Amino acid sequence: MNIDYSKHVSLVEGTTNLREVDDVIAAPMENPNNPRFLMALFVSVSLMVFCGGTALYNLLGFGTGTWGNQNPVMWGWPIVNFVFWVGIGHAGTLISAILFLMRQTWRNSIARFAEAMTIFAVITALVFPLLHTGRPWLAHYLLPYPNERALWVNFRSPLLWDVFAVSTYFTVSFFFWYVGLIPDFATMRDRTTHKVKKFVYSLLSLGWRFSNRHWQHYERAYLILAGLCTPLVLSVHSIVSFDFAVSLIPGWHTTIFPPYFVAGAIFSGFAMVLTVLIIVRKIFYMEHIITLNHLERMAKVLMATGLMVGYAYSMEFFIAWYSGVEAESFIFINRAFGPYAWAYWTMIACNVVFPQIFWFKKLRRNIPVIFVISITTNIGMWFERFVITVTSLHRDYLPSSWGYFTPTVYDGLLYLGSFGLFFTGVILFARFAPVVAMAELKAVVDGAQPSHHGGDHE
Amino acid sequence: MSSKIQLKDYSKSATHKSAKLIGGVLMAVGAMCVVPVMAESASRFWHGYLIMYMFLLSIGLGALFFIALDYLVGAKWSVPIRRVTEILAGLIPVAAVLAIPILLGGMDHLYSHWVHAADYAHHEVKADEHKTPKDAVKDAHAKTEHKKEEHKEDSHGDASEHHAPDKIIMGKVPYLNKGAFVFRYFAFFAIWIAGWMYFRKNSLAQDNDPDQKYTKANTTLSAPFIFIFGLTLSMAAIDWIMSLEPHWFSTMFGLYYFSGCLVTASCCIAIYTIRLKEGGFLHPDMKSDTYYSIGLMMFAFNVFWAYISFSQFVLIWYANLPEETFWYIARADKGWMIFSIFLMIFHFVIPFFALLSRTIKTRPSRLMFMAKWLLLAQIFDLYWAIMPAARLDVNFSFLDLGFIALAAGIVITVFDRGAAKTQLVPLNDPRLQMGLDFRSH
Repeated sequence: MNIDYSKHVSLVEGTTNLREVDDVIAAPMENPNNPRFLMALFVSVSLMVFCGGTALYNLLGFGTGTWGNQNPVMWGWPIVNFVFWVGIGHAGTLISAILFLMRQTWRNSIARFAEAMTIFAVITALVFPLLHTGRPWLAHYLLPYPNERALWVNFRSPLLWDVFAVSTYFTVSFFFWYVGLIPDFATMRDRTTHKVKKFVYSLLSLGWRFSNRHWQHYERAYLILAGLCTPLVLSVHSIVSFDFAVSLIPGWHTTIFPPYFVAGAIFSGFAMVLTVLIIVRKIFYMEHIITLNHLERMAKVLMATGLMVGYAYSMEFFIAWYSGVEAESFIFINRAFGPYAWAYWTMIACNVVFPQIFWFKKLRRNIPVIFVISITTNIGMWFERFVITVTSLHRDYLPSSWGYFTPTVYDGLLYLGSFGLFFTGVILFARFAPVVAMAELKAVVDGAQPSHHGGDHE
Repeated sequence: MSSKIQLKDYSKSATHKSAKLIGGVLMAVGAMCVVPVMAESASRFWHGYLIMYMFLLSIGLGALFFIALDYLVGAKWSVPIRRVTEILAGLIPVAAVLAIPILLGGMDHLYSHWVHAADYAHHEVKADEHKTPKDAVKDAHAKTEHKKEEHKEDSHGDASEHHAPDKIIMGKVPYLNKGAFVFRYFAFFAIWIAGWMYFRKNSLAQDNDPDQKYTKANTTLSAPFIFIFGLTLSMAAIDWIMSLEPHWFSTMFGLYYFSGCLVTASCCIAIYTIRLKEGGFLHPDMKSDTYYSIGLMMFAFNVFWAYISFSQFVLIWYANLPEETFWYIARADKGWMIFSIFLMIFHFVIPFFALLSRTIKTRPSRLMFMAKWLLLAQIFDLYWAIMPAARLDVNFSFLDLGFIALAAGIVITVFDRGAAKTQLVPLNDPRLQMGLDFRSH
């Protein structure tokens, strides 16, 4: 296929009609509930209620001992799942903030949805450390506030930095998402005839009247929030990586962790966004808005970040040997050939080997292939966190305390429940708010761009 | 396609003449300042030389990375200034030549901890006197040099009286030995120079033949090239800088040098874009929005540098393992502490706030000032990373500035010679018009 490099690629295919953009995007909110939607909601709510509920009941009734966490692996699935979900929450802000600052207008079709996924992924992630504290009803002890118990938090612990980093990230991402939604809520307010909906959308749109002055303020606010979000994308996962890397445990303490975790987070986040968007564009008939070109670009990002993660794996391995530290070399050889070799090679295959098929243009424009790779990447990135957490812990400096970690059924149920929570949020969002930013999208429809020289764009 | 424009001829301009003169004078002054350092202390001289070499290499490598990256992502704004980047990447072959003295003479001074370790591996069973006379002379030389320079043994105990390498260094011999080092030098430079020549050849060919196949060819190469580039650059950083203190290790080190490359290259691109544009050598339709983008790169990559450097430091500081901390202790002891603090302020804090505003990124004079500032900061960063390896007391003298003058002279001369024989705007690039239309808001 030959590309004409001198032309802009159309971001929205098959339409230049601004009204049609509104119609397509508003359709899921205006049309009566379709059976596929109800089915999806039913599945995720049941996952959340039955699996998550059972695990939660057991946990609160009997304590964290019902998990597989056991000496020497005291950090098991809860941490793995926490890092997994926080990682997924990264793509949204990367797409909406960093790509916005880089003026990558193709992001306009996917940013809103990715941001929503960020919000729900972070909420899901927070469940795990909250439960891991053992007494989630005392979680406010994590916040430094003056209290009569003379209880003060440990500022030297990266686990506390996590509390600040993740909550800041959540707050700023939420506002960024909400500011972007305001004009679209106003559009929905103007379109709807339903009384209750009109009231709610009016409230949410904060009196937006599409005036020139509103837009000016909006753009300024959006730019500032994008600027604030950008360092947060890096800081959150860097601090999550500090949870491991400041320790003295071989396999955890290595300086490349912060950028390596950030690359991995973007990798897993893009994978999840791809998985969900491929379904969403189909069931909501948005194939001309979230086009094959979008999927191809995301596949490229997926491959690039996969290679970055691969770089970190090899650098860790090389330096483990180069350092001459015996414990360090041992842990890496043990990862690859020890009792958890199956997990290690699953990770390598899913994260480094499989995405390489995106070198071929035919394959990265093949939707079933992209879908499969996005899922294997999710699996691989979950295993990455598993490998890091468990393999480093199960071999202590004292061979007498070596062990093998086995999760319990409650670990599994809680994990399934977390998927339920995440997808319930995402599906409800898709029902009640525009999944694509209408206002932003209209700005990049063919013919909408301002022309700097009298409209002689080819 | 854009309408035909007449570009000013750089090779006949006054800018060319003055650059030739300034470059020559700076190189001469630099060389004169550097010679006394050589006489004063060979170790000091070679460490200074390494700083200059790594600095020039970082500009070339950063520029090469930008060429490949811009093709890979299909960047448009940078097309009107791509020739500036291409000429700057011409510093890579110059750096390849500058590395030769290190390979021939400097290695004994710089990498004395490990450069002869391979010999010990062979001699361990035999007695010492079985060494060839040549080796013995070299060893003795290295030893005396070291005794002279080294005031105290280090806590990690590498600088033993004898230069017999310890067990840890012996373990690294399969990677850290002279043969492998020289082999990697040839392999890496071959890859980088071949990549640069390929990109440049296609880019220049397009000036005469407006076919898009050249853009396509470069785009195709860019993806695998960036991958190989990342690996080779990281290993080069380990080879040339990290192995100065061979006990020390950090998985972040490749990225640390890479982030510096991005800073220096974007600063040089800023300086030469401004110089050429204000001199009227670039496309007349290019607006200050292009400056804005370059300023943005400087800002972003400088923050990236700070992020990488800080993460590397804080993880080692927090874990507090003696096998890692000695590297930072060497940069806190013997008067180096003030340098470390100064580096943070000079390289990060001030440029961060200075480059935050939009006006500074669009006003040529201010952007130029910040670009020069950051280039100095980056030299200083390399000084901070390399010089303490010599384990000298802080003794910053004006003679050290000789290397800066020399480096500046080389950059000016290389750029000037490159610019004199190149058409400075890729007029037939299919993305040129879109690049000129780029607006930053």
